[in-house]
Order: sequence, then C-alpha cells, then structure tokens
Amino acid sequence: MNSVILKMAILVLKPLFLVVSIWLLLRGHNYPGGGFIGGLIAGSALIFEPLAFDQGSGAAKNHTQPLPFLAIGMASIFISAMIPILNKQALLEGLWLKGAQTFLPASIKVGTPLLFDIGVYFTVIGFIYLIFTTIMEEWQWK
Amino acid sequence: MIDQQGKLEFFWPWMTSIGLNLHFILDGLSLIFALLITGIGAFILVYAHDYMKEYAHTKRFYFYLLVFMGSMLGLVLSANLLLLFVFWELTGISSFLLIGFKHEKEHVRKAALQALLITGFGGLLMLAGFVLLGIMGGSYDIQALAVQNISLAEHHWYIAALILILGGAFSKSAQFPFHFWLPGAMQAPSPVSAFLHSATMVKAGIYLLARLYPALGGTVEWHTIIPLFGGATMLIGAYLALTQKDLKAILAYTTVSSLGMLILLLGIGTHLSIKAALIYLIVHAFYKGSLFMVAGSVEKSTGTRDIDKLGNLARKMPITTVVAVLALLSMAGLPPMLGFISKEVIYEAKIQAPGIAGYVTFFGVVANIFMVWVSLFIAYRVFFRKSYYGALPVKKTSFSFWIGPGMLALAGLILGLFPYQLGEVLIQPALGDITAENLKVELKLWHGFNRVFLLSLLTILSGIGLFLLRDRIIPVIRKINRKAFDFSFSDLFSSFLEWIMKISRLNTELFQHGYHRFYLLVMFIAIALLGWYQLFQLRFWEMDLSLQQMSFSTILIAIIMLIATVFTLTSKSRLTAIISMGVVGYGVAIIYLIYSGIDLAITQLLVETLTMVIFVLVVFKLPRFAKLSSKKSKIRDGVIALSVGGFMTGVSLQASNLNMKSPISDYFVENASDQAFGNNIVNVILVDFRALDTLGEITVLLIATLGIVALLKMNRS
Repeated sequence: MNSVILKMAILVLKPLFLVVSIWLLLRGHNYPGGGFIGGLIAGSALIFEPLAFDQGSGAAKNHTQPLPFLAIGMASIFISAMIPILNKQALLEGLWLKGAQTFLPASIKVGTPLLFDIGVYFTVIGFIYLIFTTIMEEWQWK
Repeated sequence: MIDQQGKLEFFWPWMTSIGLNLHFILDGLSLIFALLITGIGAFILVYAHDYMKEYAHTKRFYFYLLVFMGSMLGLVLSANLLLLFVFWELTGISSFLLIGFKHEKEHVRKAALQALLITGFGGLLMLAGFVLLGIMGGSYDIQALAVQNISLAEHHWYIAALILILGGAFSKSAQFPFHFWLPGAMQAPSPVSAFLHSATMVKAGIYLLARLYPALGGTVEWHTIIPLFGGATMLIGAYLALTQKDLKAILAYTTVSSLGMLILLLGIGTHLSIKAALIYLIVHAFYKGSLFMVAGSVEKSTGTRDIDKLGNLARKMPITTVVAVLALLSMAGLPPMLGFISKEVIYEAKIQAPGIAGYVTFFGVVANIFMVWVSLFIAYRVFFRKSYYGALPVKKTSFSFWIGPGMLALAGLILGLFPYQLGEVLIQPALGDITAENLKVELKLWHGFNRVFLLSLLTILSGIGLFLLRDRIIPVIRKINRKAFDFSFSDLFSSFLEWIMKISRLNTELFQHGYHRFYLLVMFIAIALLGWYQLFQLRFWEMDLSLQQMSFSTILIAIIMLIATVFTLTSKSRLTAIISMGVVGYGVAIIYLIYSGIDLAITQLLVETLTMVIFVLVVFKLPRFAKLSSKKSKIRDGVIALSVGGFMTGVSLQASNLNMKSPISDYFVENASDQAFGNNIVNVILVDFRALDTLGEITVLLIATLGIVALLKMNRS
C-alpha cells in the first residue's frame, strides 16, 4: 500500500492512538476502557507503519520487536497474580496501594488489578503486532 | 518425634485440602521392610560396583537404584494412603528405568514397558480403591482406617474397594494372571533382579496387604479371594520354574511362587499364618537376593546363564559355590537354615488354617516339593555336574562378587541357628502392628518330632525322589507344556497392546484426518446435536417471546445485518464478502451500544476492524476466487450452518427466560465499588472478580498467537 496521505497521517495518528490507549487503560477501572480495549488501540497504532511503508524489505528490522510485548504482558500478569500469594492471600486477590491516592487523580487507582490490566494491555499489543508483522514478512506483502 | 508406643513419627502438612500429608511412621512392620531395603540395598551397591564396571552410564544406574531405594523406603514408611500411592508409582518408574537399562536392545525395552504398564495399571486400580476407602472411612490416614474395620467391612463398597486394591497388590507382586512381567523383568542387570525383583519391590503388594489387614482383613471375601490367587500363583510359579533353561528365569519363577505363598498366608489371616508370612518374607529376601547375585556372578565369569551349558563350577568357583549351597539349602527348607524354620511355621499355619486346611496344606506341600527339586536341580546342574558339553573358560571374579551374596546367605544360616532374637526383636512388634494384639513370638530351630516335621520330611524326600527321576519326568512335563501351555502370557499381552494400537490408529484416522473443513464440520454437527437435544429438553417452543419490547432502531439494524449476511453468501468477490461480514459485526456493536454495553461495543468495533484488516491482507495472497463446492456440499454446509445458528438463537432467547438462581450480576453491581474499588463493572469483573478467567483467556491468546506465527512461518520451507 503506497499512500502518501496515510504516511503523513501516521505522524499524527500513531502518537494520538498511543496516548488515547494509555488513557483508556488507566481509566478502565471506573469508566469504559481497560487493558483489552487499550491494547487493541495501541496494537492498531503499531501496525500503521508496517501497513503504510513497504515491508518485507530491510525496513522490518528497524522496527520495534513484537515478542517483548508478549513477554512483558505475561510477566506483569504473573507478578500481579503472585504478589497476593507473597502476602499470604489468595491467588489474584486485588491489593490496592491506597497511599498513592494523594498524588493521583481519583480515577486512577494503583494496585495489583491495574498491573494485571497492564499485562493484558501488553499481551494484546503483542498479539496484534506479532501476527501482522509475521504475515507481512513471511508473505512479502507489499 | 517418638510417640508412646515407641514408633517414630514425622508429620508435615502438604496438601491438607485433599487429605494428603507427608506423614511417615516407623513401626514394627515398616521396620522389617526398611531394614530389608537398606540392608540388602547396601550389599547390592557393593556388588554392583564391580558388576556394572563394563556398562556405560553407570552413574545413571546408581541414580536410578538410589531413587528406587528412596521411594521404596517412602512406600513402607507412609502413614497416608495417597502418599503411599505416590511412592508406589515412583518405585514402578524406577523399576522401568532399571529393567530397561540396556535399552539398546528391543526385547529389553519391551520387557521394561510391559512391567511398567502392568504395575502402573494395577497402581491406578489401587488408587481408585484408595479413593473408595478414603470416602468410606472419611480419611486417608492408615491408622484412622485401621480402627474402623467393622464399619468398613459392612459398607456396600467394601468388595469394590477390596478388589481394586488387590488389583494393585497382585500386579505389583506378580500374582497370577499378572505374573509374567516378573520373568520378563530379568532383562535387568543382576543387581537389579536381586534387589527389586526378588527382595524388595515385588514385596510391596505383600506389604500393602499386611498394612491394610487391620482395616480390610478378616472378612469372608478377604479369606476367599486372596488365598485363591495366592495359591494358584504359588503352584503355577513352582511348576513353570521346572522347565526353564535360563538360570535367572528359574529363579524368577520360584520368586513368583514364593510371592504366591506369601499372599496365600496373608489371605488365610490367622495370627500364625501372618507370623509365618513375616518370617518367610525375611528368609526369602535373604536367599533369593543372594541367589540372584550368584547367578550374576556365574554369568560374569562364564558368559552364560544357560543351565545346559553350565556345569562343574564347584572346582572353579569354590567360594561362590559355598554361598550358593547355603542359599539353596534355605530355599529347599533344610535345617539348620532359617528357611527350615520358616517352612515349619508355614506348614503349622496351613494345617491350622480354618476351613481350607486340607487344600492349602496339600498344595503347599506340592509347591515345596517343587522348590526342593529346583534347589537340587540348580545345585547339580550349575555347580556339581561333571559331564557337560563345552567347558567354558571361567574368569576370576573379585571380592565384591561374593561378599554381598555371602553375607546374605550367612545371615540365613546364623538366624537359623539363633532364631529367638529375630522373633523377639523384629517379628513380634510387626505381628503386633498387624493383628493389634500383643502376641509372644518364640522361634526355635527344633520343634520336636511332630506332624509338621513329618510333612517336612515327606517334602524333602519327595523332592529328592523327583530329582533322581528327573530324566523321566522332565520330558513328560515338556510334553504337557507343549500341549496345554502352548502360549505365553507375555505374547498375549503384546498382541493385546498391538490391538489397542490398531484401534487408536483407526480412531486417529477417523477423527484426525488433517482437513480443517471437516474438523469444523464435526465440531459444528456435535454442537448442534447436543444443543438441540438440550433445547428440546427445555421445551423451547413454550418460551415467552415478547418482541414488542424491541425498539424500532434495533429492528432496523437487525434487517441491515440480515441483508449483509445474504450479501456475504452470494457475493462473487472476496473483498465484498469481507466488508459485508464487517457490516454484520458493526451491527452487533451498535446493538450493544443500544443496550448500553459500552465496553462491549468498543471492543466489538475494534476487533471487527482489525479482523477485516487482517482478512484483507490475507485475501490478496489467496488463489483466485472460484466456485469449487458442488451443489450437494453446499446444501450440507447450509443445513449445518442453519442448525447451529438456530441453536444459538434458541439458546439466547432461552437464556433470558431461565432464572434458575438469582444472577450473580447483582452481587457484582453491589460490591464492585466497595470491595474492588472500581466503578466500571465490566472491567472489575475482568481484572478482579474473575481475574482467573482472564488469566486463562490471555494465556489462550498467547498460545494462539504462537500457533499462528508457527503456521505462517511454516510457509517458508
């Protein structure tokens, strides 16, 4: 796909999508949003570039690697699941850091569920990004 | 810690929720087994040092051997049935690894697998029995079960539990009809045969029966089933030992016979017979462990175990011969060996067996006559025969080859001369543990000239007589065997295995054909059939449909979706089809929005968009669109699609009508803010209330991703 409009639009769209996705992720506990939706949007942001610029050439190598997203995502989920166990509570029990509320707006709450949601966010990004880049690299899609 | 009765106890909670704890108790019965395992194990390790020298991977061998030793100790010390099962299976696995130690040869692998499958299968039966027993008694603690013998025996599951547990005990202890794995296990190196397959592991079944006697024993079933199988095994083992040519095979079949005898004695279940079993257990471990090691030494120095080729070793291997003769004397039950004492006690127990005394005494004498014969036969053939074909060169063997068997054989002699201490220190506490009574055990070498002694005399004389007439009798036996036993259990078992493999291959070909479209077809047909059955059960035609509640906008969107669906099906271009599918998806998203499921709507929109993008990417690489399906297959696919869709519709409609319990959503709504600290209920459910589900879903996502990547990369090669 060789579209000048898309190429230029990406300069604005990619950061915008990423910011919106993080906003959705953080507000998710109280308002519509959350890790899954945020992850889908951030994943879309990341696939703009491979879509707009021809892949399959050397360009792919300079891009962000998809696998670390999956690793970070699963690691956050694992950590958020294990923290309550170290605290002698049930697996995945929600633990909140209420002291952090003095520095943060009321809509953002820090705790293991947030870490869990961040894990979901990264895993979903990795999922979308990995599949797209693989399709493009392997099938020499242009 | 040590409790009042002088038992060593160790308790460590493990999985308390299913009643599985690391609970070990060392009492009298465990002590006998623990001493046999560690004592004989020490001699085996000394013996193996030189025996295993020529083999590769000896470190691995010692590792397996010590794993076995540890798990066998665990087995006899466990005070918890489930823990006992864990160790039981561990002994089976280490036995598999040891039998298959020379794994380069196919028949060795086969024998190892056969032993593993039979004992493993038995172990599973036993586990089922344990679970039944645990439910019946309300505990997996053996001591807790032991005190409720009567209530267990009257429970209507008693017979099922008993039979299942016996399945485990019989398969481990090589009882008929599972006996054939033991001779097969002789493919293992001799130290293994001496340790696992004569002295310790095959006694696990005996241990189990002795251990559970307080809980399960004393019933009619116990006194009927167990002696029956034990007796049959005793006779069959002794009989089959006669015609073997491999020295280790002869010993293996006599081991089968001895195990049968032990089971028989436990089945009789009088105090005397249990005492006899305990003594015989020790005697047998001593002489059979020793004989197996002797057989290994003979093989190492001459290069063969074939009794037709062996002979006159008395002059070339004098020390080994002395050891062997001592052990064989014990096996034949001649004074002054411990074997004599045990045989006297066994005869006494059989004569006094309630109800079945006549049978068990007669068959016991027959089996013992065979034992005497086999003992004489081995001694003559291997060590004292002057004339034989092909004098084999004899290599000198080192000290470690006879010290182990020598000590064991000597123990049989010394304990035979001074049996009193053995009885008082080891047998008496163990007997007390099994029978729960304080009985005095006094063993003596000379019991006086009574009917038991007469039976012994008859046994020995008949054995000698049969041995002298061997040239006439053995051909007759061979002839009978050729006619009556013209099959081997081992072959039957392997053809049974092949049959299973054949079935599973057929099954695989039927269901795992590798055509994606047929997989989908099968899945959808199954879903539709099961689903429709359930809908009919719920009488779906009676449900209350209140269509008037639908708003105009919803109906409009539904109509758009229907049109888009029809378009998808009839379009001639893939791109059009994909876009009209997208329209359906967006329609669903809008319906979510109308019913104020904002999170769902956003997710649906995003997923739909991404799916379409992926579709478009992939479609360009597909071959040109063509109509390949015939009319017939189209109708078939249409019918299946309609029935699945109809079922889904039915379920969705039915779901709102079914209110079996108050829905959990109320709970979520009430507690999301207080307990989970959040106002967006969907998200709270995802990351807090039902976080475990999300964890599972996200894991599936990850696995699916890796699967897709693997499939795409496969294209490269």
